[in-house]
Amino acid sequence: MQTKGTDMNATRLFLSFLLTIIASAAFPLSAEAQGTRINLDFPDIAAKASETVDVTLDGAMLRLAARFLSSTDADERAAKEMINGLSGIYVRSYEFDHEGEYDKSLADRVRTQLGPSWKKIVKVTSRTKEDVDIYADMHGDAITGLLIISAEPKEFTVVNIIGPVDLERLAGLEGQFGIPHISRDAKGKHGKEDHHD
Amino acid sequence: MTVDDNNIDHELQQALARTSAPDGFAKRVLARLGEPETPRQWRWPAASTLRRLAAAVVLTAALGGLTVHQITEHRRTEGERARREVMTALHIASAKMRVAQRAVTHD
Repeated sequence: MQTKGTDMNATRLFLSFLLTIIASAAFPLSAEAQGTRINLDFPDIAAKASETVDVTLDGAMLRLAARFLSSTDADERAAKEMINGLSGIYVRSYEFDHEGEYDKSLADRVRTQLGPSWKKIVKVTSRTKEDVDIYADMHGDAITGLLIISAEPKEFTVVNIIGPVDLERLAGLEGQFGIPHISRDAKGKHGKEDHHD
Repeated sequence: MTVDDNNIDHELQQALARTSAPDGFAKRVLARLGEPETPRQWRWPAASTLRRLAAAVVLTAALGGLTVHQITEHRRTEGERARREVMTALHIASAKMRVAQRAVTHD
């Protein structure tokens, strides 16, 4: 009887061990598959900015937003399709009255957080216009996260999207949306030059 | 012993004399004992109790309705805010993507 009991305990122990191994292996995979959230807290810069855009949408908020996005409106339907499957969108955008009001090393502060899975896919450098760096969190061929860093003389913007991102579709959204080329429009409103054309 | 005393004795004897029960009395008593108890009839509560009860029901319903309305309203506000934020975020992200796309295309 005692031998049978000991065998049962050994089997239970082995099963628990096996489950622990499976669970610990599965968790990082699922976390990786969803991409990594980058820390976008810049408390010092917000105080200097004349305009700030701070968007923090986690998975639950995205699902809630999806319920309120119209399926009949073309822009909202496109947005709804875009956010489907995403687990987070984080945007920080700061606009300043004068040039040189923010520390250019902010972009480096963001870049240093990127792990080896992040690949730079586009780098646009301009002496007078804006510098744009786009990084993708790659797992195999799949993009599981996106980071956009845009540094202009009077504007600094960082966008972090967590989840599978269709880059073509994302780039095509602006033209599809009712307000085409938001950056140009926003600047026109404030009487600024258009650097993009 | 006087005449009056004799009358009182006589009256007492008449009053306390054993008399037999009417016919069928014992039968009727036994029959009643065997009958099942009739249930007590339900009565409406007093008007004041009914008024208190109605007030409690109305108050509970009103409070419940108000709470549900507040939760729904809060949820709707949150949803609308999230919807606006999604649109803003995607506008910005898309605009930046287009800047990069144009630069790559022009190169």
